[in-house]
Amino acid sequence: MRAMTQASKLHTPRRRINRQWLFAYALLAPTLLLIFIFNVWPLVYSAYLSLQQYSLLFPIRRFVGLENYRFLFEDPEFIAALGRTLYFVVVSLALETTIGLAVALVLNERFFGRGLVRTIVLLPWAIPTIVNGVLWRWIYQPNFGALNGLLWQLGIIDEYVHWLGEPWRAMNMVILADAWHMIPFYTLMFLAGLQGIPDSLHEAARVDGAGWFRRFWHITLPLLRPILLVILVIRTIETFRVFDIIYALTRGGPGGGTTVVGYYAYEQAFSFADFGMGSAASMVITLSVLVLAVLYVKLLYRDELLH
Amino acid sequence: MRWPRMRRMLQRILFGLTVVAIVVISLAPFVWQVISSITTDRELLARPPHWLPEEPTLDRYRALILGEAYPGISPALLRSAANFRGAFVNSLTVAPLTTLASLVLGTLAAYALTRLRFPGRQGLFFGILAARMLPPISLVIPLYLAMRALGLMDTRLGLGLVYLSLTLPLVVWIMSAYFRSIPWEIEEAAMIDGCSPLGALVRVILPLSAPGLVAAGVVTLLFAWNEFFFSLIFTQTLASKTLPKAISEFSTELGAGLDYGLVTAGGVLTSLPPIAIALFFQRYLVRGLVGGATKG
Repeated sequence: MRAMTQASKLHTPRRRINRQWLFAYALLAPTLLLIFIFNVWPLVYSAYLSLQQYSLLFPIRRFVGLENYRFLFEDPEFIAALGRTLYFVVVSLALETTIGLAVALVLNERFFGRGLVRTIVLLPWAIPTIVNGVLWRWIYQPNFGALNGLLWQLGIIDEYVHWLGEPWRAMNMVILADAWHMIPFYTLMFLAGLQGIPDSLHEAARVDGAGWFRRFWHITLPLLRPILLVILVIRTIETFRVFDIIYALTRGGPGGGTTVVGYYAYEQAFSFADFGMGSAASMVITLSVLVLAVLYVKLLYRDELLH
Repeated sequence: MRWPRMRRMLQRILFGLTVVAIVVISLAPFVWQVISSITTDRELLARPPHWLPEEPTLDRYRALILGEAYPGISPALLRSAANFRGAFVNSLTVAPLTTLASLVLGTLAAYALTRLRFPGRQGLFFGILAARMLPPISLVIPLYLAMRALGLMDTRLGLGLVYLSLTLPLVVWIMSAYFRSIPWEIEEAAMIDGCSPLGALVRVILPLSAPGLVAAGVVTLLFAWNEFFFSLIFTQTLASKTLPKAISEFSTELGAGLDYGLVTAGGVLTSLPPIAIALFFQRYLVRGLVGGATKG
């Protein structure tokens, strides 16, 4: 990065700088235009809509200030949805990080057929989210589903369970289905991180008499920290706005038990045709994610300075 | 002498069992989807389930691919099944074209951001990165209103443009990381030999960053093929409906008559292309995700 800046300083004649600017802007124009029209403008307009009473059910569209936000934070359903989202984020990340790292550690060992196994574990991640949703809905099916059949045949349950029939259980089952789908992403990232750790470090520690656990704790884990941070922030952002799997499995039910903020905002806008409220709810999500995004860019930026 | 050997063997067995468990858990749900898709309706309702069908059938695949009726299929279900082909064509149009456009435009932008000096470079780079973090829900309401006003609702062009804007930051990100790893001197040599900057990009830089292009292409293709949220809201008819949306309708449109058999068959067909791509380009996938994530 530094070398590059120096190089261009050294080798770009002064009189060509303006032409170079124009050339750069021309190359960037289509990308910037598309991002402006489809990302920046909608975001700004969404903020503007969130300050309006704008529902297809009411004839009058008018400016109401922060009224929509006040309504949101006084709505126990929205507060509950925020709580459920937080639960979804924290439990998903804890579960997926632990299992993803464990699988990566196993697949980092040398054994016969390792390449094939590494390919196989990728499969769940390649399945489209919506297909994953309907697939697990079939597995969880209360009367003929495979999960009930399997657990019953193994003698673990005496009678078939309505997996998605009760709010908390439904939430946990959604988290499990999503975890099966997303864990390969963690494994993939952790494996790449593990491959960057030189064997010599472990060898030296082994010679010094350090056991497996101590080597993991003092060598592997600290060296995985950068990639762990990246995974955590990407996944926090993704899980905070979770929608597809909820839509496919429960539609926010039973009794609103799996209604997370992303689904709440969708319902406000597209089930109740209330664009003002929908925008306000989505702005709350955006602001939360923005805080995380700034953190993310800062982390990457710091990394870049280090290299 | 005896004990350490026993212990090592035990460890090996435990390790082997762990690997087997990982493989089984990774495969079982998808395998069950494949098995369910070739099991007759009657057997799907068995309790406990028939883990292997007694009379396997390809009827559902015939209905989805050829639009042929099979015994017991209702007219409404047959219509849904026939819709599947149209949605397949839509997905097959939108995903590759989005990918192609995204690669071309994103590469040019990444080149400018890493190789040229101009005011606002750093800010634009981080601005493009930040766009990647925006939650779709914060964009969808204004885009819905705008697309309705512009007549882009329920068109492949509208959906493709939205996908393009969402995948561009990703391509810029991955390609920038690749361009940075290529020494400036190589390009300089090409320019001294008489290449224009664009010529140097096409003849020297791009061939060197081919793995980056493949990685960015695979990630974009998977995104555009799998995306559901915008398809749910911006597509309504076969004019633009993509596969994820079509699948979601098998499982809901019919209400009580939910047909898991057809859903699983459609799920298998929809999953096969992304699975094939992800497994075949596995190495590039890792590089794309990790290279983009760590080199920024």
